[in-house]
Amino acid sequence: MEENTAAIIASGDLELYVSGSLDPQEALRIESLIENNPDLKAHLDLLENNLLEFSSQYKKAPVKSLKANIERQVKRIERLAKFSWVSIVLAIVVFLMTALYVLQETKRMRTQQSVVNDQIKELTTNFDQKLEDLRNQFIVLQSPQTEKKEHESKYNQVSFNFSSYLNKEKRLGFLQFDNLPNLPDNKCFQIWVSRNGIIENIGVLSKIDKQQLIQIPFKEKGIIHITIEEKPGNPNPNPKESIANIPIG
Amino acid sequence: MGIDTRIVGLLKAKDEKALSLLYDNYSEVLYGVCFQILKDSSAAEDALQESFIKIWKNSHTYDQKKAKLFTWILRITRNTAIDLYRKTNKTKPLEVQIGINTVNIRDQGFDSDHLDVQNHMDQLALKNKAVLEAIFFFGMTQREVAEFLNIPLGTVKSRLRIGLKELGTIYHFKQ
Repeated sequence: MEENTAAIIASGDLELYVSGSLDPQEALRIESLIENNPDLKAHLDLLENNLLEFSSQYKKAPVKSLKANIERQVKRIERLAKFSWVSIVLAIVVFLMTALYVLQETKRMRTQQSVVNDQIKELTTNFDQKLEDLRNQFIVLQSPQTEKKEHESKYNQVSFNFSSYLNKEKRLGFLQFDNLPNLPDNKCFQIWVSRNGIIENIGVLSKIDKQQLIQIPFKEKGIIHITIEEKPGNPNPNPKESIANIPIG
Repeated sequence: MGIDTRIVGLLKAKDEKALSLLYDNYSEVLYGVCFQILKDSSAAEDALQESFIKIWKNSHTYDQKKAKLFTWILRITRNTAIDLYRKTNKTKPLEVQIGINTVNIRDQGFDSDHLDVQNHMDQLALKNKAVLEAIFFFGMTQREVAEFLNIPLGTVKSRLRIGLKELGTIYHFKQ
C-alpha cells in the first residue's frame, strides 16, 4: 500500500489531476485511488493548498469595473434563461393549440367528407331510381299491352280525375292525376295497396304536377286505395274510407 | 462555516451573491494567473470575465468531494485563458522564457519576465518555480517539462518535489 502510494505520488499524476490536465479516464482513475487511500487524499489536499499558495504569488488587481461587468452579464444570462423557459412553455402551448386545432379541423373535415360521400351516394341512388322510373314510364306508356283507364272521384263534392296505366306483361303500373282537390292544411292524400288482406303504405301524395306519373306496386293482384289522412300520414288506414279504389292485377 | 462552503451553497442555489463573494475572494489570484498566461491586461480581463460566466453556468457540476473550490475555479480560468491565447495567436508559436532557459513550447507557455513574484515567493528557486508554473498553470506533463527545459525527467521530479516542499513550508508558516 505504502509502495503504491509512493509510486503514485512519484508519477506526478496528482499534480496533473490538481491542475485539471488529465484526460477524463485518467482523472477517474485518480479519483478512485484517492477515494480508497487516505494518504493520497492527504497528499492531494496538500497539493491543492500549495496550488492556492503558489497561485497567490501572482495576485494582481483587475480594473474595478470588471466586477460590475460580470454581475451585469450574469443578470442578463439569468433573464435570458427565464425568457427561454417562457419561450419554451409558450412554444409548447402554441404547438398544443395548433395540434388541437388541426385535430379538430381534421375531424370536422372527415365529418364533412362523410356527409358529402353520403350525399353523393344518395344522389347516385336517386339518379339510378329516376333513371329506372323513366325507363319504366317509357315502357308503360309506349307498350301496346298497357291498359289505360280513366277514373273519377269526389272529395267534399269536388270531382277530380286521374288515369291508371297497368302493364300486366311487365308488371308495371302508374297513376296520373289531372287535378287534386284542395285539402285543409292538416290533411293529405295517402295511397295504399291491399293484397291478400295485407295493407301496405305506398306514400303520401304531396302537391304533384300534372302529368306526373306515380309508380304503384304491381307484382301481385291487389287494390290501390286513396284516402284522406291527417298529416303527415296514417300508419293504420281504413280502406273503407277510400275516396278511390283501383284494382290491379 | 468557511467562506468556500458559503460560496458553494450560494452557487448551488443560483444566488448571485455567490459571484460577488467569489470575486472578492479570488479575482486577484485568478486575474494574476490569466495575466501570466496572456501577458496582456485587457485579454486577461476578458479571460477572467469569461471564466466567471463559465463558473456561474457550470456551478451545478462542481463536486466538493473531488476538488476544493479554488482548484475547480482555477482549472476553469486557466483553460479559458489558454483557449483565449490560442484564439488570438493562431499563427504565432509561443516563445516563452522559463527561468534562464528560452524555449519554444508548442502552444503553451509563460514569460517569467512578467512574473510579479511577491516576497515569500522569492524563497522559491526560479528553476523550481518554472517547473511548478509549467505543470500547474499550463497543464504540461512532467515529461513535456523535461523536454522543453531540456533537463532529465528525474530533475523535473526533484524540482517539483522541492518546489512543493518549499510551498508547503510557506503554507504551513502562513497557517
